[in-house]
Amino acid sequence: MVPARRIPNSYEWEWTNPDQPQGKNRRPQSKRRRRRLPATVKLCLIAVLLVSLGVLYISQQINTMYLSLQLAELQEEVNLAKQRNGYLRVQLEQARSIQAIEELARTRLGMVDPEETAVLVAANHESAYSGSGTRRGGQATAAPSNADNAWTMVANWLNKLFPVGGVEAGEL
Amino acid sequence: MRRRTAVIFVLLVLCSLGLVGRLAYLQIIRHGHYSELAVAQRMRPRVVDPQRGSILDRNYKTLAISIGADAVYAIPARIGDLKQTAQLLAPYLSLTAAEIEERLRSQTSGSVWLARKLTPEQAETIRDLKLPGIYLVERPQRYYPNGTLAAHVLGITGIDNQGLEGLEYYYDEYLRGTPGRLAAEADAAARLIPGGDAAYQPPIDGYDLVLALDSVIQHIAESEIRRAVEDTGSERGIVLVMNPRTGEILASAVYPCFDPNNYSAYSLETRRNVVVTDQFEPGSTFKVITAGAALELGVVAEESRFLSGPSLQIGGGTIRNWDGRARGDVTFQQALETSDNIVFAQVAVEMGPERFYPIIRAFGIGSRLGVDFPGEARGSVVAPGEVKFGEEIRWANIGFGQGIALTPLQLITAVSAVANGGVVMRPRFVTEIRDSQGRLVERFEPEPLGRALSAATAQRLSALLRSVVVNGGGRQAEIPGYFPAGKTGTAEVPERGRYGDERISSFVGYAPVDDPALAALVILYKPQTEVRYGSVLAAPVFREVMEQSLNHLGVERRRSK
Repeated sequence: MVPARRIPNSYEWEWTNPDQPQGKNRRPQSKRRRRRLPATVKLCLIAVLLVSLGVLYISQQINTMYLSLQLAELQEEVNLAKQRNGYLRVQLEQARSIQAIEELARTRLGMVDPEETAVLVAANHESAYSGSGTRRGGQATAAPSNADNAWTMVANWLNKLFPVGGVEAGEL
Repeated sequence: MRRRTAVIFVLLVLCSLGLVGRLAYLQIIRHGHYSELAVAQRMRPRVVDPQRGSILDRNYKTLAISIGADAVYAIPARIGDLKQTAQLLAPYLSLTAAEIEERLRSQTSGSVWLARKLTPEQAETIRDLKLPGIYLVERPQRYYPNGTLAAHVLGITGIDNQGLEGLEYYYDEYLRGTPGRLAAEADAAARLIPGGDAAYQPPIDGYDLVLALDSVIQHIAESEIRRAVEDTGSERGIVLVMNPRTGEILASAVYPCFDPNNYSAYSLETRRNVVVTDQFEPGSTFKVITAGAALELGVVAEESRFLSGPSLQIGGGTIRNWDGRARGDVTFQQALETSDNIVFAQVAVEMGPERFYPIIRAFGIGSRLGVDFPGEARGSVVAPGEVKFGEEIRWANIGFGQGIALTPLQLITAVSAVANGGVVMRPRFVTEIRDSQGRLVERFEPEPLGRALSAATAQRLSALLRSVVVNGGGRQAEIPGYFPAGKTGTAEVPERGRYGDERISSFVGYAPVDDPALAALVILYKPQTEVRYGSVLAAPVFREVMEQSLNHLGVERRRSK
């Protein structure tokens, strides 16, 4: 006699795969039921996620903007540095120019052209005359001041005859 | 009631349809047009200036350079108190408060430039003042770090960095480069929006010019001519130095000079490079060409004898010797040494215009030499048969350098041809063009224009010119160990159709005579000294320039030729 099998209610109906072997190999039915999250919670989670993404996006945008501003400021600084660099380059070229070197040689080192004679006037007779100048090819390029004074003329004449304080090129 | 509702409904539907239709028209049909307008409104296209190329001397020393520098401008309409603004700005600009105020008041609408080429410190200070209506903008600015050095050669550039004169103008196409473009999103105040859309097409910087000019020789030439002009009270002075083998111009000095950094302070007359653009009667320096032609044609030899008196009646006119002296029986060599006008007039007439003229032209006189500089003059020489009456006296005059005009550049080119074995070389200021990275773009090789004399004739003429320095009027040009050869000149200046009292003193020559390294020309216009001969005024300048330049180039002195 075959034991009677309980006919499940329609809502308890369990589908069985006819291809699957019955009996011992059948997986035991889990007694624990999967708990489902309530829809409200799900919606909240999605909202939190969306808000987080939004905040992240906005903060990134702000960060990008901030970095762009920083970049613009740095670019401005680079431009100013380039400008300053260019200006220094011009100054360097000016300092290297022959005129500048000649000026330095004349003013700081007291050098003169080989054919020039630098004349320093002795200053012990200030009332007589004062001043200095250079001579080239026998022509004076600077004259003593107070030349209208008769004494000055005599002193000049004496100085020509017996040069006092005259310094030849290369001696300075 | 229902009917009324229906009417209102239909009207509303029609209005809605109209709005939808209009919207579709704007959004779909006119989409392209309005998109362009919107982009144009927020995208501000800007021209990005390229860096103008530098000008370098033959040793790559910078003669002209472009850098970005701030310029300050004002929009007077946005300034509240013009007077106060002017007073605040004045200490930082090279203008007085009154001058600034005048400028601000002169422009009621638009903008006005106040100063360019500000130093970084000036710009920073003005920026910090934050004056309303006062703005700074970076502009490419041209600087000439050597000041007046070679100013006539370099020329000038305008406020938009374009070449206006000299090499800056002639080679502007190479120097200026190609502007770039920047289209970037900007706000209503035209400030760029960081992170906004931007399209950038970078500019292409201009090419650099490498000149044949040697800045040291240029400095020597300028110093010497300045001294000579000041000592003699001359109106103007010129020194030209050329490599006779290549035609390269190593120095071209004109005094009075000008500062291209502040060119507006000088007159056009002062800025003109007369070396290329002006022609003058050469006087006795032209005897070099007459002698060369006569030797080439076999009309004379060194020992040919002539009778020289104080004056000569020829072709219905009278020719006088420069010193009024009668030298009697002289050789051709002696005639050249003493610069005898009577002998050279006879030689020119003997050659005749038909034979003399082609040789003058072969020296490059009467046509442009094709130098790389704007405004080159041709010179003036009459063709045979061109003078209907008095042709004989005209050509007799041409024999000793009157009745003919040429540029200083033509004269030194012709004499360089003698030094170069009779071959005329095209004069050149620029030898190379390089890109902004220093890579060679173009090199200009020496270019022969033709042969004016045979090599043998050139050698004989060189010996004669050497004897001018050793025995003749060019003694003051002698440089021990360098053996220069040359010719003096003292030309009368034609004024209102006749020769006046003013003179042009000159000396042209080269050294060493047997292996010329340099040729040089010195001209002093209208010296005010008692003695105005080229042998006295110009020859010493030639000696100074030549000696220092040869020393600089490392040419060794020798004991004997």
